[in-house]
Amino acid sequence: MIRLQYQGFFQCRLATDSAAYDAPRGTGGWTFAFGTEPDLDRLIRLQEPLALRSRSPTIGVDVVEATTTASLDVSSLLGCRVAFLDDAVFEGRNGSIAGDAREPISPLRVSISSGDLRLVRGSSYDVESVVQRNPFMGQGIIGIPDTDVRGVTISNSQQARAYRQARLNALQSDLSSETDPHKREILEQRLVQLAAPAGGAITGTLHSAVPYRFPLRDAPTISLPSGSPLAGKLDSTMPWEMSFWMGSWDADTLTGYMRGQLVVPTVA
Amino acid sequence: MAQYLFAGMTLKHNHDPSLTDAQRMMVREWRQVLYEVARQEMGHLGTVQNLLSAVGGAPYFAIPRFPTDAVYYEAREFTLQPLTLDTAQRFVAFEAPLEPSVETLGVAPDPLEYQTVGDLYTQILEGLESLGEARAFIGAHSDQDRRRWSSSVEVHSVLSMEEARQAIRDIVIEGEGTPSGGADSHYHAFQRIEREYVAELAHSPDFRPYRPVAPNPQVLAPGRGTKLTNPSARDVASLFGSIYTTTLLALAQYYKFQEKEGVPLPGYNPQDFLRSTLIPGLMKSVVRPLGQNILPELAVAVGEDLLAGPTFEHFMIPDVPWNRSVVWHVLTERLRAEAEFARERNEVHAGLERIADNLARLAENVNELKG
Repeated sequence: MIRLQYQGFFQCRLATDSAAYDAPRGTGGWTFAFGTEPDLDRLIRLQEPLALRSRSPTIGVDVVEATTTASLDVSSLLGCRVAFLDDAVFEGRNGSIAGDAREPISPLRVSISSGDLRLVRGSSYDVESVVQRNPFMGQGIIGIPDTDVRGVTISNSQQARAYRQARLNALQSDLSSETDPHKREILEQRLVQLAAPAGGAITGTLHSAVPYRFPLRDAPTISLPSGSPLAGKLDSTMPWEMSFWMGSWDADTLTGYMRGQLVVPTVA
Repeated sequence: MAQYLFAGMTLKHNHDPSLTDAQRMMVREWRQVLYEVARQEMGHLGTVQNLLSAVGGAPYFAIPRFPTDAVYYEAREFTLQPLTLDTAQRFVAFEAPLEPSVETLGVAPDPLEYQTVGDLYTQILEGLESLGEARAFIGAHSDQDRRRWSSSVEVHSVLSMEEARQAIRDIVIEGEGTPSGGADSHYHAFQRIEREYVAELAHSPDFRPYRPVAPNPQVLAPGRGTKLTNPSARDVASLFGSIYTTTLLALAQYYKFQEKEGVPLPGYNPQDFLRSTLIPGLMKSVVRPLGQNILPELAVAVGEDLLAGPTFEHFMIPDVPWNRSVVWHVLTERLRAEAEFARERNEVHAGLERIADNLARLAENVNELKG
């Protein structure tokens, strides 16, 4: 068995309730596309963000630890990039598929890759079917397991408000020196959102997370560099168990943090 | 709760050109406050069902037709109105603590039998205490809803006198705050809206945060409501009323059977589906867009400027039969019929096509679960 631990920041540019789930600019919720920014697209980007806003963290969910119970050299898996393929989204559709923190990730196909090494496996299911999507749904809101992912401790509302205030101060500073009118417009609108009494949801979601746990059971695609010690060792018949949490959602930068593991059975 | 939703749903949209940027932000905040309070009221409704169950009662979801006299409140009625300053002040009065200041209420406090929500709940608790725990709490423990619906909707189980005290205390504090404060209470949230409203009117006398909607719009309108005569508005309002009734039926089903529902499908409890998907899904993906985006764009009467709004009519008493499997069939049939009705009228408003899709999806999900 091989156990891969991965973590990092992701981007998800999505409209939020009470806007329609696919509102391209956001309307009634607390996330918006501003100024010249491209439309909101809901995609869960674990790599290669789109129009990343200033003051965002570096985006990239990568394998940070690879261990095995078998006699195998798994070092080539370290540093691999993790990604959801096929334009995956949190599929809630304003509650008609799933409520808050229960949204299944759909479609579900995961890539672990680095150079010539590429492992791809998913689970095909019909997200319209309540029975089929059930195993792939989020498991509800929990307190964030790691309170320090943003560089400061955020474990309660008070600390989240302080984080918001620090962002407000930083963006005001950025605005004072920004001369590009398009960037100024985006900064100004972000500041308006952050200064609103409720502060958008930035204070409510920074210290919470949503766990997921499901099997990847479709036939995998395994591409390995020639001479890889992993050749013929990864079990393609047994499900690969994936578990992670996604949290520390920052509604200003539209970024969040992800940490979890993938367990890949090996062939004796 | 329906009054708060009506006021929130009929506020102007974020892009309304008659509002300044600052006014748009303020109106958006107000809408969020009204919806958040309504969500918390849903939690209170669940706790009240638990209280009913604890004393041997049955779930109860019937509501009176609007407008109706508010017998528990001084000189106030329950009425569906847009968020005028008067409406904001009425909301403050609804949620006012036991001893509100005259200045805040805008009406002189005149002792009544029940003057506030807190007063009413206090007397309910006194009634329970006079009976004593053994005589009062005869309901089955398994009939309590112990699950958290969402971060905003928290339901208290009531299995003992102490839990009844705690549940009532929390409802009152969340609504009124405490005599010494309660910054997050409904009362203080509405007070803030009232303050901001007064300040904005002083600065901009023409400020109107709401759309020109009719009070108490209705399809049937046997009483004091505004009868809709525009056929398109009547159709959509009929759909709204039917879906509102379906939502209340789903709530009745959820609270009537609690843990008794079997698990016909491996790993899936239909009661969880009601709580986590069907009921919130109907509210967010059907009731709200109908009430917020579609009805307030349709004229009350052909050729008139006055607009319709969410009616919150229900066309039957929302009760369910004791054979629980029947209800799954009823819900499936209702949702399918409502989806078809919406789709057949998609020329009335482009948003009805998505409403139909959402209803059809929920219908087929219920159908899956009934097996």
